[in-house]
Amino acid sequence: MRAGDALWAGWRGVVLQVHEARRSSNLLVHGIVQPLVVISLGLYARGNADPAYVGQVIAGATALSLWTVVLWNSGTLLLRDRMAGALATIMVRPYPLVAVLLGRTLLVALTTIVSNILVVLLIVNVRSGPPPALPGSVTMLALAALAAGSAACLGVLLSAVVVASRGAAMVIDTFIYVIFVLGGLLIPVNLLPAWARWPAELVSLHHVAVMVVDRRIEITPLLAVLALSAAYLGAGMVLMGAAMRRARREGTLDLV
Amino acid sequence: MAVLEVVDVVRRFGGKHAVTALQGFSMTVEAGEIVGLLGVNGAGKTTLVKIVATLLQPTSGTARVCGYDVTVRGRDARTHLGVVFGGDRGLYGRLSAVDNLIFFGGLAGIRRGLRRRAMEALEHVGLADRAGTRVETLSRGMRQRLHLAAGLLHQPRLLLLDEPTTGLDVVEAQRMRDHVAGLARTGVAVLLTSHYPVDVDQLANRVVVLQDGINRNDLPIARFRELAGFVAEVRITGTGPQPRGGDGQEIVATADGWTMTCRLHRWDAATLAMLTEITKGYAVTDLQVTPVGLEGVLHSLLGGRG
Repeated sequence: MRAGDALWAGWRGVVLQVHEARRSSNLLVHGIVQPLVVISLGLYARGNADPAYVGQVIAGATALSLWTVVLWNSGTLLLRDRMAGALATIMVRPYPLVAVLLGRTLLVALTTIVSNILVVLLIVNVRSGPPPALPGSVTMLALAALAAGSAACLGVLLSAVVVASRGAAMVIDTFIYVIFVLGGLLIPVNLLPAWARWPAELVSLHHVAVMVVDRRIEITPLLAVLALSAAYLGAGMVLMGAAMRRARREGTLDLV
Repeated sequence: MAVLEVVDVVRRFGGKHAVTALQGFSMTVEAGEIVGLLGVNGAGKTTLVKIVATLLQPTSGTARVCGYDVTVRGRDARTHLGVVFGGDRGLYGRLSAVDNLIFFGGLAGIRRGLRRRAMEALEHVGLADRAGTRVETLSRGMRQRLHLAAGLLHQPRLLLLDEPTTGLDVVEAQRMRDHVAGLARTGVAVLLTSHYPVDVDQLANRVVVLQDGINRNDLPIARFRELAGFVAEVRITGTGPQPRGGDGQEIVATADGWTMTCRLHRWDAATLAMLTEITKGYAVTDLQVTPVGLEGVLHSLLGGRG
């Protein structure tokens, strides 16, 4: 596969997802309403809270929003394509499916990040009290780009896991609850017992949230995000390649 | 070189209780040729189409598209391949017709003038006025034509049509057949499978019959029709006394009179004279002549089994 072909296929995936997203309520529900509600409830629960706490709530709520969108939207892309018969229509064409998928998950993550930022800006501007403790705009944009890239890689892995498994609903349920409780997104890791803190280390968005709370890009969490993202993408590609080879060899996936 | 060459393809499914869908199947399709693939349900038609479309690997044997082995050089084979699956699935329902074509055309390798070519393809299948319409709101026939446009956008050398008229009304089905007939004239090789013999009857130059996973017959369509052993069936209805009938003429008494059925082995002046003679002096009320169709040939060939 040439790099130019992969880039072209990824771009077609981005364009496809732009059209799909225009007619999807997923972004509205998980990318706008959910963080709006979670942040509002988090702030209401503490009354006029201190800036560090507000920053923590915002970081957690946006990371959770990104995770939810990645799971429900990116994670089910291939499954929905298969159910609609479109997976076979893509597979009979010469360009790589994984590049198309990465383009689509990247677009999903980017639109979610942008909507999250708009929600945060809205809340920051309408609430009274001191401004939340958040990174400066340049650092924030860099962290947003990092989160979007990592979420796109995570989306490829989840999509491959969901399409390769027989029980897609069970996979999604398992992921959503485990990561919600143990992923270190909304629930701070230091509130968990010591033996339950390790799963958060495997969630790249947790490390991004840590940097948002610390208001700076730190080398250890940055390397963790990059390494985990590469691992997500690599594992997703291997798993999807294996699933497609198996589908062609054994006639699974019920493509047509 | 044949555009499609299938050699000794075997495909088994399952482990312990394995089912053999294809057992040493071979065939070719040349440029500009439309080959109709016939067979009852479970004969292996869809398995063959999936193998050629690179969605399924053969257990053994080879299939080549423009010389590229679909197992080893799948990507190269797909470059020359257009696939149109039957039914209304396989498109993005929330996208417009033209956006679907742009997406699938892009993945087929078209990088320049994509929108223009998508619009030309829509024009070709009579959907130009529906370019901006969401696919989920199109009728089944329109979606099927859109599938055809998507399969043809990159000007493939081989087109696989799997049940292209399934679920279409008679007008849409005929329109689809007209499009396909036009393609072969441009040099595209077409492999057509259909449950409806009328599709193959009207379109194919050659017929391949798949039975129990093997190539049972591979003949030009005119030769294939001859396999029935007769050219037409005549059904004469009358009242009053019954004619005596002769060899090959079956007479059945009915409440109103009688019905005589006979098969004609040729259609000429002597046959007309024979029909006039056997009905002379009897009160004939109706006469129906039914030319033999592929359905009749297939039925007599397969004897009601696959």
